[in-house]
Amino acid sequence: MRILVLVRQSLGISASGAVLGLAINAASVHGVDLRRPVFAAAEAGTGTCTGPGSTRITPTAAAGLCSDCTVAFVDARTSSAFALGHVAGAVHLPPVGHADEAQQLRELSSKRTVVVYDDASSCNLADAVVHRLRQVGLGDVRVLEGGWTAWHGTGHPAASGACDLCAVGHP
Amino acid sequence: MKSSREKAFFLRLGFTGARIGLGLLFAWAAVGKLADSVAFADDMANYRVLPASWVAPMTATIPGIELTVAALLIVGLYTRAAATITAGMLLVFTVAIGQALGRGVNLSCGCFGGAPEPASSWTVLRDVALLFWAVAIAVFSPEPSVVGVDTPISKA
Repeated sequence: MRILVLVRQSLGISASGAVLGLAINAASVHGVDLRRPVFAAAEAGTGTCTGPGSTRITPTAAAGLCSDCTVAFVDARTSSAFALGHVAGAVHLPPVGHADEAQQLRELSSKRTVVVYDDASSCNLADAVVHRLRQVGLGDVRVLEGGWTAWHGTGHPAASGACDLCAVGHP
Repeated sequence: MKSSREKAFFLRLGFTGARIGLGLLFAWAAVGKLADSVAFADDMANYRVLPASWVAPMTATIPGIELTVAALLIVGLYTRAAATITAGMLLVFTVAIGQALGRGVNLSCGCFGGAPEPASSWTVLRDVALLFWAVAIAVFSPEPSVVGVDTPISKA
């Protein structure tokens, strides 16, 4: 009898927890898209962030823009991930924003093209930032296919090259 | 020479500390996952035990369940049920990490969210220790605990 009570309580708690998790996910800017399949990195082929969503740009095409000072790269990942490594000259702007956001948005507005990336299978961080940038009036905003993994994995500049000089906040 | 009453008190004190400690650990794990659900989804996908379409729903629900059992363990409500769920989750995590290591899959365990933590035999040992910890609370935890709200309910 006590076992039955324990099982009933456990099922009730698990169900409540699952509902709580789904509610937090729905309310969070860090949430995942429940309808979008998430593949293992080894199965994803070309890397992460290749699904449908905002306008995409391949790492090769984005690297070609890197020497153009009217192009900016935006890193939508966590600050710790950004600190570990990022596209050369990229600025950090997560979907939740931060204290220097207004200044950054003003400077990004002066760029012809903005390339946003994250490191997620679903690209949802990058998509969220693209949505915000479009809301403030930026026109040509694209998501980097494959995100940071693809960029870094294909040897594109991560710490050198013209992007450093073209970074937002620099002349 | 301690009296049996003193022994019982210290036993209850020990289990209360163990319960709250396990709850805090699970709360930490849940918050880490919720702070970066996308990274947790990628970590979970890399285990390659779930169909791709199940990963996102599991990514959303697991931290919620962890947070719920953590809260219950910390306040001492439905302690045995919360510890049973905790033990069940730890068993699943241990098996998932063990099978990945057995197949030679190199992955981040995703245990606490945040910075990548490579899954290793140490991770399996840690989860097994936590599993015993949770089972001990579920099976042997004496009532009433020193601090907790289970007692009034169990007497009702």
